[in-house]
Amino acid sequence: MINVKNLTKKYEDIVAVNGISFEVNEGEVFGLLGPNGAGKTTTVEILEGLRKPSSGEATINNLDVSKETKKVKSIIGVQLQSVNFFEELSLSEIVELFADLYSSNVDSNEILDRVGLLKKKDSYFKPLSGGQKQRLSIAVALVNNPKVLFFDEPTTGLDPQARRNMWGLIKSFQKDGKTIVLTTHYMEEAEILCDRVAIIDEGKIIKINSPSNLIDELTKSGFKSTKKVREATLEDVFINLTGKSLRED
Amino acid sequence: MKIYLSFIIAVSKMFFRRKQSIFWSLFFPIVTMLVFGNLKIIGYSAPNVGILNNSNQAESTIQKLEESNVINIVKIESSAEAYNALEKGSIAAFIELPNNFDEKTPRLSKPSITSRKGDKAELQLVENLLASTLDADEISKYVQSNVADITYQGYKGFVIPGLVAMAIMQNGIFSVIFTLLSYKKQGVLKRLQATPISPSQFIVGHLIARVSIIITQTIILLIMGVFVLGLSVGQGSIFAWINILLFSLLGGILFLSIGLAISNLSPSEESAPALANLITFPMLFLSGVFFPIDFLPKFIGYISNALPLTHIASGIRNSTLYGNSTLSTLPQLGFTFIWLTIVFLICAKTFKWE
Repeated sequence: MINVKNLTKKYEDIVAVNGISFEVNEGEVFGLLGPNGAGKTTTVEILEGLRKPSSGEATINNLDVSKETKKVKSIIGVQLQSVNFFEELSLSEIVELFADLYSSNVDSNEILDRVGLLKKKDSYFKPLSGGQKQRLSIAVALVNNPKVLFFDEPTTGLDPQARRNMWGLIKSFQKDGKTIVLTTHYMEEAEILCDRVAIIDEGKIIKINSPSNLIDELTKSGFKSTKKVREATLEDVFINLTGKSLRED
Repeated sequence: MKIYLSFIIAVSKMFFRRKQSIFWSLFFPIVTMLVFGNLKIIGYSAPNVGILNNSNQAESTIQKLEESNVINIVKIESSAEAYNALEKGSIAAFIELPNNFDEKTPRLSKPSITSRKGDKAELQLVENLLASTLDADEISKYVQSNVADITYQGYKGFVIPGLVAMAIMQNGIFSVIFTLLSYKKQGVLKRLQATPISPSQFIVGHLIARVSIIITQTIILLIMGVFVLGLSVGQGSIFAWINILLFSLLGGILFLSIGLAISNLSPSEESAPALANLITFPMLFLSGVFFPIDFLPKFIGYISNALPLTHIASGIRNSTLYGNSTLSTLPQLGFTFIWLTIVFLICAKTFKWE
C-alpha cells in the first residue's frame, strides 16, 4: 500500500530524514518509533503531502506523494500531532466542513458516533478534553473514508482510560481493512497495536520487524532485563482501581 | 463550488459567534457614526452666499452686499460652479444677476436667488438682504426665488460615507490577521493543507466568505445612517447603492488581501497587528475619512491621492451625496482595482500554510 524508497529531507543545516526505505502492506498497522527529532513526523508529513522530499520517492496506492499530491490527500486520513480546529464551530459543523473540503457526503452523526462524540455534536471545540479533541481529530480523518490513516502520536498526553479507548478505535479501523501508520513514544502501545514497527534514529531506519520478533531477537542475544518481570504493571493496577470507562464524557 | 459555499457558511458562523468581531465591525463603527454624524463641527457663522454677476451695471449693489456682515459673499463664475458649490456645501445659496440687470431699474430684470431644499432660513435672509440693498418695497417684485433640487446633508453627509469606507478597511485587515494568525499558530491551517484543497481555493474561499461579511456590514451601517441619522443615499438614484456595493466589494477584497499579505509577511505573530496599525492609522487621517483632504498641506495631498482608502471613501461619498452614475466613479473604481491587483498578487505569492 505504501512504498518508500531512499526518502531524504534536508533542511538548511540538518538532515531530518536520511535515505529511508520501507513498505507498508495493505491492512497493516505500521509503527514508526524513535526518540524526539528522529525524523518520524517529517517522514509522516512527506507521506501526507505536507512537505516535499529533497530526494527519493514515496507512493501510496501507487500514487506518487510529491507528484500526485492532491489524489494522495483524497485517499488518506490524517491526524496531526498538534490537534486544533476552528474554535467557533460545533463538532458536527467541523466534521461537515471537512467533509465538504474532501467533496465527500458523509453523515457527521455516524462519524461522531464512531469515535464516541455523538453526545457532544453541538458542543464547541474549545471546552473539549484532550482525549475528546484527539477523537474529534480521528473523526475528521475519517470523513473521506480513507484507505490509509496516519496517526501522529495519537495518545500523547491522554489518561490511561482515554489511551485504551484510542487503542480500541485504532484496532477497529484495522478490522475495517484500513492501513494505518502510527508514530508513538509508548513501546507498550506499539507492542499492542502494531503488526510491524520501524525504529528510526537520526533520520535513518535502524530496524524493521514485528514487535515480538524484535523482542525475541534481543533476548536470544543474551539480553537480561534488570527489572523483574511481574504479572501486572502499575497501569494495570490503575485501570483495575479506576475502571476502564472514559472519564471525560 | 460547494467548497466555497461551505467556506462562506462556516466563516460567517464563526464571525457572528465571535464577540470581538461583532464589536469591532459593527458596534464600534456604529458608535463612531452616531458621535460624528451628530457633530456640529462649526459654530454659527454667517453663511456663504455665491454671487454670479452677468451685468456691468451692478457695482454698488455688489459692494453693498459685500459690506453686509450677515452673509459672506463668494464670487462665482458659472452656474455649473454655483450648483456644484451648493451641493458641496461651500455656499448656502447664490444670487444671479442677469446680464440686462441695471441697479437703477432693478424691477425690469429681476435678480434671482437659488437656495437648497430645507434651507428656508437662509433663503429668507438673502431675500431680505437683497431687497433692502435694492431699496425694494415688496420683495417679490424685485427678486425671483428658486429652490434647487439639492438637499445639503452637512457634516454627516461627509463623515458617514467616510466611516463606511473606514469600516471596510478595518474589518478587511484586522479580521484576517487575527483569525489567520491564530489558525497558523494552532496548526489549523496545516490541517487544512492536509485536505485536497489548494492554497488558491483556500484564499479565494476565504476572501469570498469575508467579503460577503464586509458587504453586509456596509449595508447595515448605511441603513443605520439613513434611519437614525437621516442620511439620504444618492438622492434616490439606484446607482448610489450599486456603486457603494461595488466599492465595498473591491475595497473589501483589497483590504482583505492586505490583511493576508501582512499575515504572510510579518516576521512574528506579535508584529502583525503593529504592522496593520502602521498601515491603517495614517490612512484614517490622510484619506479624507473625517475631513476633506483639501485641508491638508499640498505635499501631503499627493500622498493622500496615492492611498487606496482616499478613493474608496470619495467614491462612496460621491455616490451617497450625488448619486453619481457608475461610469463617473470609474476613476476611483479603477484606482481601487489597480491596488487590489497588486496586493492580491503579493498575497498569493507569499501564502504559507504554516
